[in-house]
Amino acid sequence: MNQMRTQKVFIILFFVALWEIVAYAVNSRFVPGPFQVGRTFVQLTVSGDLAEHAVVSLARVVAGFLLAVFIALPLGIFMGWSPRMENFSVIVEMLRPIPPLAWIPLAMLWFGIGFQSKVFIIFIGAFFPILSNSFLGVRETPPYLIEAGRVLGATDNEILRRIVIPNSFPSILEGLRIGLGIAWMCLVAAELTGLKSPVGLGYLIMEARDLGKADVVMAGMIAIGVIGYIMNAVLRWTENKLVRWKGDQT
Amino acid sequence: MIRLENVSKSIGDLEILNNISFPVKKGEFLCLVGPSGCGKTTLLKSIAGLRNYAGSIFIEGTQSEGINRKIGYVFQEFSLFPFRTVKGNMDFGLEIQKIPRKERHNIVKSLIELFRLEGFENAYPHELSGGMQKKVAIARAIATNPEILLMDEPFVSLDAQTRNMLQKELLRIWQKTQKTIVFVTHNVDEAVFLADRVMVLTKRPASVKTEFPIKLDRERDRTSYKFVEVRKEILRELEVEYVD
Amino acid sequence: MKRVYALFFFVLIMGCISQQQGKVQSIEDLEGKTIAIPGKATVQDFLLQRFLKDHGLNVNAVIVKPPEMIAVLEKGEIDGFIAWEPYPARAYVEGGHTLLVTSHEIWVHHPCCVVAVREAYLEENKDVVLAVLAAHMKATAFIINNPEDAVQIGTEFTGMSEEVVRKAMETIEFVYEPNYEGIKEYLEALLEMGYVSPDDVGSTDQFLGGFINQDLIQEAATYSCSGLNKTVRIGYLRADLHQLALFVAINQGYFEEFGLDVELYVFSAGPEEMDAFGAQDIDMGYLGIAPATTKRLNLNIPIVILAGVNNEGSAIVVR
Repeated sequence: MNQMRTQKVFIILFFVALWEIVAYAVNSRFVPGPFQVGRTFVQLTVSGDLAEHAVVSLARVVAGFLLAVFIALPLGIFMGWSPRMENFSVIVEMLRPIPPLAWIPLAMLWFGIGFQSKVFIIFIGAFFPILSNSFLGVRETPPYLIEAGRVLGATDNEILRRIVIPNSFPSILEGLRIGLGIAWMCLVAAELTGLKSPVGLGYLIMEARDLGKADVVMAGMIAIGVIGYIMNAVLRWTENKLVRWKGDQT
Repeated sequence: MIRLENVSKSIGDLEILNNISFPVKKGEFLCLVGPSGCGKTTLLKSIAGLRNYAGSIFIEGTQSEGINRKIGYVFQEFSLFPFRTVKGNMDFGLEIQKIPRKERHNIVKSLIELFRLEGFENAYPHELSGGMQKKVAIARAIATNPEILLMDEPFVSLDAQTRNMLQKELLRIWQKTQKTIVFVTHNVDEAVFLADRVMVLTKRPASVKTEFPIKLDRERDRTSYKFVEVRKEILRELEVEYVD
Repeated sequence: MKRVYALFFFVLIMGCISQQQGKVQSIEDLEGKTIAIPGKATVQDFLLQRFLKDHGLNVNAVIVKPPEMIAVLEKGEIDGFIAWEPYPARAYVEGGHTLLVTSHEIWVHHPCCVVAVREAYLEENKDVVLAVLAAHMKATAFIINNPEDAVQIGTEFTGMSEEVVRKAMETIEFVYEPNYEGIKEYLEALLEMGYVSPDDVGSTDQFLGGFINQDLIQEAATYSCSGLNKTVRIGYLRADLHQLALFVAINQGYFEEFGLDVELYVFSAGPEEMDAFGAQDIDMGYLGIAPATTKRLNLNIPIVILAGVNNEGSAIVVR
C-alpha cells in the first residue's frame, strides 16, 4: 500500500522534473516551467481568484449534472424496463454521437451567453452516459432474478423497485461518474465561448490567452485537472461504499 | 396435491411439451428425469405459473393460473439477490406479503437455525460458497411456507461432495417440513437417492414415458445392491431417449 | 413525485426567461451594466477602460466575438458592446440601436490597427516587406481619394450593405504612418492596467525603439520592383473595416504589380492573430496595436510595427 503511494509520488516528481527540463531547454514564454506555473498557481489561490473561478465553474457543472440526472436516470430506467421503448432508443443512438461541444452554437442561439447555455452544454454531456448506463443496468438484469421475484409474489412494480433498480446500482453509479467527468470537460470548453460574467475556470484561461499569459493558462489547466481528479475519486469511493455487495462478480 | 391434465406447450412450430398428465401426492418427493433440453424446465416453470401452457394444472383441487402462493421455486442458476444479505434474501417473500417486522424476524431466525447458517445472516451472496448459496435459495423459497416446493436442477453446478451434502440437507428439511417436492434433474443417481417416485420423460417434445416408484428405505445407501439395480433400470430407460 | 417534476420544470422555465435590465439612455446609465468587448487587451477593451476611468464608471465587461455581438445585444444578454466598424454602423442601420460613444470622443485620433511583421521574416525578406508596405500606402491613398469605390470594395470585404459600410467609413481615419506617440501612450496605459509588466518593458523608449520601425515605411514610398515571385502570408481581422486597405490592395492588383502572391489568414480578434504570429503561421498582419503590444511583451513574440492602418473607428453601442 505504502509502496504504491511512494511510487505515485515519484512518478509525479519525475514528470515535474521532465517538465522543468523541457521548459528550460525551450526557453520560451510559450512554455512556462513548473516553478513559474506553481508560483502563479499559489498567487491565484492566495488572492482567492482561483477559488472564485473554481466555485462558479463547479456551480455550473453541478446544475447541469443534476438536471441530467433528474431527467436521464428515470428515463433510462423506464426505457430499459418497458419493451415498447426499444423504438425510442433509435433517436437516442442518433443523438449520442454528436459531441456536446457541437451543440454550443445552438446553445448560444437558444439560451444566449449566460448561465443557461453553459448548463445546457453540461446537461448534454452528462445526459447520455447516465441514460445509457441506467438503461443497460435495467436491461441486463438477469431474467432469473426477475422470475425469482415473481414466484415470491412480487408485482411488476415491486420487481422494478425492489429487484431491478437495486441490482442496477453499479451500472447507474458508473454512469453518474462518467457523466460527471464528461460534464466537467464540457464545462471548460463551453466557458471558452463567450460568457455573461467574467468568472469561471474556462474564462480564466480564455482571458489569460488573450493577454498572452501562458503561466495562468497552465495554472488554470492544473486547477481543472485537480478538481476533476478529486470529483472522480470521491464518486469512486461512494460507488465502492454503496455497492459493497458487488464483490468480484464479473 | 398437484394434478396435471393434458399439459402441452408450443412456441410457434416448436413443440416443447406434449400432452403431459400426472398427479403428485401430498408430501411426496417426486423426481422428473429427462434428457437435456427435453423441456423439463419449461414444465416446472409452467406449474409455477411462470409460463403459459395449454391444458390444466390443479393445486389442491383448484385450477391454478399464474403465480400461486402455495408454490415455492428454486432455480437452476445462482439466483439470490446479490444486493441483499442472507437475511434480506430470506425476508423478501415475507416483505412482499407484508408480514410485520417482528414476525419476519422470527421466521428468518428459525430458517437460519434450520439451515444451520448461524453467523452468516449479514453476509452477501458473493461472500458465500456455492453450497451455502443454494441453501439460502431453498430457505428463501420456503420462507413464506408454501406447501409445494419446485426445484429445477438446483445442485447441477456444484461439485460432487457439496452436492451430496446438500441432498442430505434437503432430505432432512423435507422430512421436517413435510412439503410436497417436485425435483427436476438429469442425474439419475440424484433422483434415486432423493425420490419416492421417479418419472422419466421423453426427449423433446416431452411426455411421460415411465414411472418408477422407489421403494428403498430412507437413509439410502448409494452403494447398496438394490440402489444400483434401480439406478441401472432407470438409466436404461433414459439412455434410449438420448439415442437417435 | 410528479409534483416535484412539475415544480422543477416550472422553475427551470422561469429561469430561462431572460431578464431585461433598464435601458441605457445616457452615459451615466452605463453604470453596472454588462458591456461586451471582442477580447482582453484589444483596442476596444483598452478604449472602454479608458472611457470608464474618465467618467468614473464601472461596468461588467464580458467577451463576445463581434459577429455575435448584435444578436446577443438584441437578446438582452448584454446591455451594450464596443467593437470595430462596421459592427456599430450595422447595429445602427439595421437594428436601430444607438451609438452612444464613438472612439473619437474617447481619445481623439487614437491609433487603432497597425501593420506588423515577424522579425525573422523581415530579416530574410526585406524586399517582400517593402512591397507590401508600398501596396498598403497606395491602397490607403486610393481609399482617401476614391471613397465611392472604397465603399464598394468594403461591401465585398465585410459582406454588409452599402448603407452600413458608408456610415461606418464616416468614423474611420485611414493612415499609413506609424504613430510613435500614440503607441507610447498605449504602452503606458497597458502598464498601468497591469496587462504587461515593467520588467518585460525595461526602458519605454528603448523598447519602443526596437518595437516600432519608422524607417521602412519611408523606404517603401520609393520602392519599385517587379517579378519578386514570392508568396507572403498576411493575417487580418474578420470584417474589420479598418483594414480595408488590405482588400483594396488585392482588389486593385497592387500586390501583383510587385509579383507578390498573398495568402490571407482571417482571425476573430487581435489576440488570436498574435497566437498565429507566435506559431509563425503568418508573416505579416493587420491587427490592433493593443493586443500586438500586450502579447509581444507577455509571450515575447518577436514582431515589429511597420505602419499605421487607421485611427478611431470604434464605438460603444447600446440597445
